Amino acid sequence: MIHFELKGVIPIARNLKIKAARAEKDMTQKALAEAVGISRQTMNAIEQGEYNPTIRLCRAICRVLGKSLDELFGEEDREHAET
Amino acid sequence: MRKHDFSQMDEMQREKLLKINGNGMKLCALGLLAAILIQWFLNGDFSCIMGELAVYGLLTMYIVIFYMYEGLWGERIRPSWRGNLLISGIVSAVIGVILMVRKAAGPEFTMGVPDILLRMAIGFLACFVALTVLLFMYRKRRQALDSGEE
Repeated sequence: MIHFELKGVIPIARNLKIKAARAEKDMTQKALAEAVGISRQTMNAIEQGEYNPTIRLCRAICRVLGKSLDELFGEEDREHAET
Repeated sequence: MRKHDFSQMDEMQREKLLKINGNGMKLCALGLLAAILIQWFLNGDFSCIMGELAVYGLLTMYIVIFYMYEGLWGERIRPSWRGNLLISGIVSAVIGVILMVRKAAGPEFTMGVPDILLRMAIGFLACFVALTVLLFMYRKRRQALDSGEE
């Protein structure tokens, strides 16, 4: 896949927080995807930072994982986020 | 999401579907335009491409009406006089190239250079006037959409 950066647009970092929260709840990607009503492909794309979900979907994921929006999707130090 | 609507897709799949449909529509529109220009180039007669022209006209009208309604202009083109001049120039150049090539291709094409230049000028003016009217409508609509109550 070709990755490119649009001028002025911050690329989405891999979301490791969802993965960690999932592990806490002992949920697979498939189980989480089913719980929020999306495909596993979409769940994987969100975790890999390839898809930017809508606020509605973010809230659904937070509800299932029992976390706040800030905990799962809050901004963090960019250098840290890209590692 | 699936629980609340009848769609069989989630939001990312729907986004991808829209992108594919959008690209398909662009491909169809460009293909149809190419077919119209090629047939016009080969025959020089509009009567044999009336069907294609009608479909292309309807498609253009649909796009223009909804772009105006939603206050949209081209994604990569700035709504400006300069942009309109550039687009009109390109349209005029395409008309000129097709007519010149037809003239060079065979003696049965009797149109002279002044006639070709006249048609290029008419094409340029018609396009520029249409785009100017649309630019005026776009700015008015944009103003109406942006001045709504908070």
